[in-house]
Parts: sequence; structure tokens; C-alpha cells
Amino acid sequence: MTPNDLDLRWGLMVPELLVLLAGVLVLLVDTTVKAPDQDRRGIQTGISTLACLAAAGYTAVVLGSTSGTRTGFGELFVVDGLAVWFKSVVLLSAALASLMSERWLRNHRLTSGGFIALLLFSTAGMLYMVSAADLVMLFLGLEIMSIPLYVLAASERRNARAVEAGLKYLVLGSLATGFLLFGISLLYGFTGLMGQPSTCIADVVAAVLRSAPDVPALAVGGGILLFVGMVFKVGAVPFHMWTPDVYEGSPMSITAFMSVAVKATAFAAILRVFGGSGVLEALRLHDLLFALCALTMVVGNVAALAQSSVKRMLAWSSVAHAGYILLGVLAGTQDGLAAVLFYSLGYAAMNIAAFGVLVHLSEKGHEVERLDQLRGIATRVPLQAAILAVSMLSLMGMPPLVGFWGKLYIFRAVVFADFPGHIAIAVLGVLMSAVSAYYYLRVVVVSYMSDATAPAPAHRPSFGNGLATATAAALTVLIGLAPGAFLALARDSAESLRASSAAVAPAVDASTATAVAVSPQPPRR
Amino acid sequence: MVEQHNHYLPVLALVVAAFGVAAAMLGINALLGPKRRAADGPAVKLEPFECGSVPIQLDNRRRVSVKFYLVAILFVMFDLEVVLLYPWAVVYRDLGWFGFAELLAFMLSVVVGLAYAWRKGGLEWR
Amino acid sequence: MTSSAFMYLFLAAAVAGGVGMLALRHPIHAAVSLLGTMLCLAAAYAMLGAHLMAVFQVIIYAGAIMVLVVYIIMLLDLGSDDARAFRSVKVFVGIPAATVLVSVLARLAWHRAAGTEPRPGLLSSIGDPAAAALPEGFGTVASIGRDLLGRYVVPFEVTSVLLLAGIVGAVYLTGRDSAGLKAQGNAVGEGKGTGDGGQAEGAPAGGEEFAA
Repeated sequence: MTPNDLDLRWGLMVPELLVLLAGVLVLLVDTTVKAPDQDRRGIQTGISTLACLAAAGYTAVVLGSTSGTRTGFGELFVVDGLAVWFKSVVLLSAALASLMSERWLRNHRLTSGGFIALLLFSTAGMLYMVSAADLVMLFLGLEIMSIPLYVLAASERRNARAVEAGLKYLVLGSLATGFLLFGISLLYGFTGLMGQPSTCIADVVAAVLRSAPDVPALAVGGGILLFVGMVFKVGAVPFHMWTPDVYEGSPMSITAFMSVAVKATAFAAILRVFGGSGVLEALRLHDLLFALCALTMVVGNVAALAQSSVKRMLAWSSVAHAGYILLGVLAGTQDGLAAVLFYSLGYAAMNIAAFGVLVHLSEKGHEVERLDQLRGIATRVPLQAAILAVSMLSLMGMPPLVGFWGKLYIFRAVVFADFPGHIAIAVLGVLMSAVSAYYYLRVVVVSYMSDATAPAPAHRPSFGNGLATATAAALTVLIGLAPGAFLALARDSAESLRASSAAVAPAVDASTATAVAVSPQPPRR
Repeated sequence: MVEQHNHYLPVLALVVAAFGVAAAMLGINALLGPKRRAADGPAVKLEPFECGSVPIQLDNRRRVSVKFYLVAILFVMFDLEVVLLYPWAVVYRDLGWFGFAELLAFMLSVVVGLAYAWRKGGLEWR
Repeated sequence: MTSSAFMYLFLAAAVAGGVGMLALRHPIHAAVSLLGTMLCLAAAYAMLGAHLMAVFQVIIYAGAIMVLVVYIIMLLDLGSDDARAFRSVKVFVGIPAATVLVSVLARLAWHRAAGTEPRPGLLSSIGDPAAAALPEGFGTVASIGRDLLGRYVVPFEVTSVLLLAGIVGAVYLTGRDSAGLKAQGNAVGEGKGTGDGGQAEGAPAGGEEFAA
């Protein structure tokens, strides 16, 4: 095979290569530059932020300028609207997370080389996973995303909670990866694709659709296992057990990054594999997903009610939000998919803003996590209190913030979708987001309407964290003010998904036609 | 399904020889060595023999140092890397310079890891 | 004929190894039993023509992974008594899973022996039989090598990133990243100076953590 057969379109892979190069550069700086830790932290987080922003800019401007699906590298790597959208979300979150990390690392007097490099590698894994046109690429992307995060979750090595977080994430994450891998092998085996010249996701999907509704039981099993592996990363109930502990024990910036970017990536992968029309039904996943959505929304919101730690509350709230986003996948309509894209971006903005404020308030040995630590911050740090209030209101779904529009689009798509029980689950979603008002508003009330009990620690504000928080908060408000433009963009991006499944569809029609013509008999092995 | 695989015969012979030698060593010992049941003789037979002095420590299992952890992980990583060279080595004549470039790119990123581990003292015993 | 006899021999030995791993109480005995399973599986792969899989099985699983397993057993100093904790998990998860797998395989074997086709939709594969046939030389080292460095070159290269991330992660996790013992000493000093609350327990012991 020569380079020409492989179709090496390097232009498509620029964001990944930029991020990887930045990671290697950070390692180089770490091993060669002789400077105080303080300066090195600045240099390394700077490199990381700039690289992620540059990659995000390239993705949005250059790759996003031409619509349509482009594949390259042996048809294993795809850049379409879906990839452009989720890559932008991931890269933006990575840039903001690196800005936030500087402060956390300084508080804990840690050097930043390994930390930032792992963050960048994880980001690169996410980018590869979002662009995967083949299940093998998808699996590798997932691993490259996850393994640095297992390590990063345990960054605070001396802290038992952090070690617990890392270990729990590693063990349960590996189990989920095992499910995913087993699912992939079953799908390949029972769709008869092994040894074929082309084994892309589109081929697997086409093979499944071709045999619907009589998909072999083990192919269905494979599809379910693959789905479970992905849903684990989203943190949907009952695959959420790791979420509160891992989010609580990890460094604040990594928690923000995980809750936002990992989720977005997993949703991109779910849409890539199961987003085509009829795939969920063919693999008999629709009812499962229905139950999953209902459970996730209920358990996430109810458990969040009982939390006294803000970090833990945000962890459970991220479970609840995963439930809302999954509703869009469940709807499966064009509107539903567009709403998933929109919500992923909006959730990234508001959640990073919330965590940014917590990072701002934290000092070494004085991590702000409990609710009562937020007492009276409105008088002490009015700007941060306002940002926290905005992000909480947005997470709750207060118009005109981005969270409101996200929920509106999701619920609207579900109401207009066509499956049994769609009204019921939409009502459940609305009810549950009414429940969530209690725990989100509690944060606002505590920070505005009660006096500080303990003297505040002296603050050394961080430029990076301030910038990240301000950016995220600005996005929360701006997208909320002009939701139409972003929804239109999301709709265009989701269009590519339908376009690619439409490209499969004629082939499906033709092959079912021949299958009908040829065989009343069952297909033979 | 099952192919002809006479070329694996030497491997089988090696396995048989290895197990055979080990079994022979144990078996001949058991066969020819003197046997005296402990219950008949003095109880001292059951005590550990330590050059005539009284044994200090009967249980000689001891935890292994956690320092081996990094060594073990790095071994696994580079082992995986080397294993992936094997298919390349088989077909590198067909692949030509492009295959060589692919392999260089692969090696480069692992070498970066090696350099990092080295500079950070990951290869030192401390 | 002899070769299928060998095949059954290896597979039986692999199953015996698996059973032994579950039944043996001492962790090291269980590990050796697992090693036997891995080697027998490697032999089975080789006999099925998946030569590269056989090599990977020996070098990665029986080599690298076993090193880790044995090391962890020695690090934790596990004895026979420690195995008991997991007994109930084995029963409640393992037996149902094994039952499902065995019943599916038995069904396939029964159909094969009787010369009938499984009911469509259960175990049959999708697509026409010609497509399901494997191409010539599938699974040999050369064909995998050509695929790996041809069509699948991006996954191949991306694997190196995974290895890099693993190396950096291991170095980071053992604390070599924090510029060695000198910096650790500093961190301890600073920790005492500011009297940090939440995590003072571990800090003074930092030096000894890796010196045990």
C-alpha cells in the first residue's frame, strides 16, 4: 500500500496533531527548561491553552467552513458537521480546563508537566474518538481519552479520596471498556464483516439495518454492550456508580473537564454509531434507552437533593443532565439530534463557569466544596458570586440563559417525536428539572442571603482561572441571548449525520431488494 | 479449519523436553533419594536448617518494594511497543520507505516517553 | 487427525487451567494456573492459523501481564485466606454468565453435529455466505502486518500515543514528576509551615512512601 491509497489528508488531522505536539512540547519544557515551578506552570498551561484554542479555531473556521463529509486515512478518519461541532466543544473545554488547572496546581504546589501533558493527550484521544469512522479508531480514542484521566483523577496522591477516585475510575472504566470491546467483536463477528475490505461504522450500521428486524441475537447483544460501554462514560444510571466519588476526588479543573468533555465525546460516539434512523430500533435499544433516560433523570436529581457538598451535588447534577441529553438521542429526530449538540455546548459553558468559581474560592488546604463554605460570598467576592448564580440558574433552566434553551429544545423534540410514551417522558423531564430548582437555588440562596460564618482566607486571584470563568460565563449568557443562531449551526452539523445515513440508505434498499428476490430461505453461514 | 502445522513441531519438542527435564529431576530424586518419615525420627527434621544457629525468622515471605511498580509498568509499555514491531519486521520489504517512515513515527513518540521517564529519574532506583 | 487431537488437548488444558485458577486458594497457584491457560490458548491460536495472535498471547499475556499479576500478588503479600472475600461474587456473577455462554456454545455445537442450521435471527450471521468467508491468508503475520501498516496505519500510529500517555502517566503517578526527592522534601516543609488541614497525614510520610 502506498501513501496515495491511504488518502493522507493531513489537513483534516491538524487539530489532533496540534494538541499532540503541544503535549510533547510540554514534556520537553518540563525536562529541559530550568525555571522556577511558578514560571514553568505558566509556560505549560499557556502552551496548552494556546494549542487548544488554535486547534479549536482551525476546527471551527477551516474545517467548519465547508460542509459535507470528508474522510481520509484509509477511510478510518472522518470530519463532518458532527465532528466539527464536538471537537470545538472538547477543545474549548480543554483550553478552559488548562487555564483553571494553573490555579489548582499552584494551590497544591505541584509541577505541571505531567498534569498538562496528560490533559492534552486525553484531549487528543477525544478528538480521535469524535472523528472515528471505524470501531477500532473509536476504541483507541476512548482508551487514549480514559487512561490519562484515570491518572489525573488521582493527581493528589497523598489524599485518600483522590486515590479512591482514580482507582474506582480505573476499575469501573476498564470494565466498561471491556464491555465495549466485547460488543465490537460480537458486532463484527455477527455482521459478517470480519475480513471484509471495509469495516467502517457505516458498514456495520448498514449490515444491521439490512437484516432488521431479524438482527441476530448476538449482534443485538453486541450492540447493547457497545452502547453500555459508551453510556458508562456519559454516567447514565445504572452505570453512574463511579460518578460522585470520582468527581469529588479529582482536582476541580479535571472534574470540570471530565463532566463536560468526556460527556460530549461519548455523546458524539453514541450519535455516530446509533444516531442513524432506525438503528436504535433495529438493535432493540429503544426501550432500554427509554428506561435509562427515565432512571437517569430521576436518580440524578433526587440524589442531588441530598448533597451537602457542592462538588458532589454538581456530580449528581451532571448525571441528571446526561439524562436530559440522552432524551435527545431517544427522540432520534433531526430536532432531537440538533438539541443534543446544542445542549452539549451549553452544558460545557455553564458547568465550567460553576467550577471556575469554586476554583477561585479555593485555597491550599481550604478547598471550597461544602455548601456552608459559600455563605456570604456575595459580599466578599460579588463578581464570582454573580457568576455562580448565573451558572446555577442556567443549570436549573432559567430563561434566557443557555440551560433554558437546551432543555426547551430537548423537550420539544421529544414531544414532537413519535414513539410510545414520548409525552410521559417529556413530562417526567420537566418535573425533574423543577425538582432540580431546589438544589440549584439553595446554592444561590446560601451565597446571597446568609452571612459569612468563618473568616475568609486571603485570596490570590489567578489570571488564568479568572479568564476561564469569565469566558464560560459570557458564553452561558451570550448563547442564551442568541440561541437561534447556535441552534441553526447545531442543526446544520447534525445534518451531516442524516446525510451519511441517507448515503447508506439507498444501498440498504438495493440490498434488501436483492435479499428478498434471492431468498425466502434464511441466510447461510 | 485446523491447518497443517508441522513447523510448530520443534516448539512442541522444546516444551516436551522442558517439562521432561523438570519432571525427571523431581522424579529421580523421589525415586532414588533416602526417605524417612518425619513422624518416626526426631522432630528436628521439620525445623528449618540455618547453619546450626537458631532460625531468626520462620516466615520468610516479605513484601516486594513498591519501587518495582514503575519498572513493571515501563516494562509492559516497552514490551507492547516491541511486540508491535514484529508484524512490521515481517513485511518491511514490501512496504519500502513509506513503511519505514510509519515505523519511525511510531518509535518517535515512544522514544519521547522513554526520554521523559529517563529525565524524570524513572529509570533510577530510588 | 493428530492435529485436532492436539487441539482438543490444548483446549481441555486451557479449561482446566481456568478451573484451577478459580479453585486454587493460594494466589500464586492461581496465577500459575492462569499462565497455563494463556499458554494453551496461544497453542490453540497457532493451530487455527492466527500466528500473530499466538505470539501476542505469549509475549503480552503470558509475559508482560503475568509479570504484573505476580508482582501485585507479591506486593500485597496475599495469602490463601485473602481469596475468600471474592467467593460470593464468583457464584452470583460467574455462574449465570458461564451458563449463558455454555448454552450458546452447546447449541451451536449441537446444530453442527446434527448438520442443521440455527434458527435465523439467533446465531446466524448477517449477509451472504460468500461475504462471510475469510480471504486467503487471513490472520497470518504478513497479512496483519500489511493491514496494520497499510489500511490501519492511523490506529497503529495512534497506539503509540496511548503508550506515551501510559508511560507519562506511570511516571506522574509515582511522583517522579514532582522533580524528585528534593522537591518532595520541600513540599513536606511547606506543608508543615502552612499547617494545611485536610491532608497532613500523608505528607510527612512522603519520603518513605517509595523507600519501603
